[in-house]
Amino acid sequence: MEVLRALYEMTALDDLIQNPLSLLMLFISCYLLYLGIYKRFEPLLLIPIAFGVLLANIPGGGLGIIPASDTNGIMEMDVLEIAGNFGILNMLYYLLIKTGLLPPLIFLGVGAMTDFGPMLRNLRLALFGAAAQIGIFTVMIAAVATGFTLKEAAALGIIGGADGPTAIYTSIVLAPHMLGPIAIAAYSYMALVPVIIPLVVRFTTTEQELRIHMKQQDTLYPSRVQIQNLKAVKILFPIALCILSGLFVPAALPLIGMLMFGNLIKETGSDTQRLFTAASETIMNTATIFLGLTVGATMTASSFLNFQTLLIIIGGFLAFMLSVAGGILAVKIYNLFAIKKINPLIGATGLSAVPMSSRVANEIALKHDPTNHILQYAMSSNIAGVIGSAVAAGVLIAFLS
Amino acid sequence: MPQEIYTAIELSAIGIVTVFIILYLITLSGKLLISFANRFLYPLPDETKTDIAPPAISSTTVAAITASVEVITQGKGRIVSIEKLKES
Repeated sequence: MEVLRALYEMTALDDLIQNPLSLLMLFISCYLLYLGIYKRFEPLLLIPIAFGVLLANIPGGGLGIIPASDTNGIMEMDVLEIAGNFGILNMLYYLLIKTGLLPPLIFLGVGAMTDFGPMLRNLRLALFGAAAQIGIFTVMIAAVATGFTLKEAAALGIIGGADGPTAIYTSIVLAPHMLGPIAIAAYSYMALVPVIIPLVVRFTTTEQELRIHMKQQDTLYPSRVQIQNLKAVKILFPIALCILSGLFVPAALPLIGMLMFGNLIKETGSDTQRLFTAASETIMNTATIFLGLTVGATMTASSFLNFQTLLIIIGGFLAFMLSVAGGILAVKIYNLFAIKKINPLIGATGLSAVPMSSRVANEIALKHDPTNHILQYAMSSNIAGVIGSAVAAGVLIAFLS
Repeated sequence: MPQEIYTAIELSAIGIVTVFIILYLITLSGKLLISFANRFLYPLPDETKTDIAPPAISSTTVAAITASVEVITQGKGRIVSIEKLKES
């Protein structure tokens, strides 16, 4: 009997009975795994996040992230003490997430995989990447009105930038206690871009606007300057962009600086091929694994199952919708005054979510006119959106941290 | 609360204007770099250039292939050469 009792005490069953909410969290983690594996919603990040949730909510495993407080003194401990007292996921969290290391490393990989060519060929379209950040700020104001603090509201609003690493980075700096729900909302809505963009486009554009043929407009009103040495411009561009954004918004430099460095080693060519491979594969993949697992592990029952999480989910969705609508509206206003018209779908891609937004916009354009390939044009505002959301995050961090 | 909302509105105005200014400066610097490169920089030697000139492929086809490769490889892929397959 004693043996059976000892066996029972070894299991997590007793803890599970005492804390039934953990069961609900395990169910949520399984649902997220289902979305990642079968529905293919951003599987590269959603699967590690969901598995992190699963690990954190098995009672007795001790893998859930413990928020830093004065009583546990976790911020005064060194790495070995944290690992010894709170487990390896807490060690990874305080070493890699709390220091803000992983999002810039992911930006390094994103930079190495980004091609500024489409943006350089259609520079004027890049401005619509700014208009699509309107959702961030609108939802920030609304969140303050519903009782969030300014820092929390800013972290929530940044979901509207549709950029996972930026949302996570802002959340780490401004509202670390909201990190889990914000990461989940950001990546879930990014995966829902093929649903959200068509929905907003349906209510904000007309058939005639969607038929605006970008190539025909280019033929009618050709650009005055042609790029003769694209390779040289592609090498100079990330350097100039880094200096420019660094001087104006230094708080955004950890993200934009790494993005531009990643891009520079890509564009330099064979001389930096090894660095490019490391940034775009080894570092990117390693960072993604640790980011997903540790962010997921912050979502314990006590920190996730509350009314605030519901507001974050709703607020994030609104921010996304408003950002898409903001980009479309900016194009419509531009078209009122310009001779060379722009398809409003270009504005809708001012969100980050590269290249999914562009692909979705291209598909919508092709539905209305099978010859209207807008992918290259959409990529311009799409890439500008990545920079725009990082700049927006930099402004919020600079003023609020 | 009203003070916080006022601060949020002020911060939003600053934020959106900053994003516009930065992206405008980026487009401006891009144009300047293009003009500079057109005027002063000779095209760098193309690593993929071969001595034998490939058969002419229309610019529309090249654009379509480039766009497809960019999307499928998420910007990682590079086109080394485009060759027309011989019909057997």
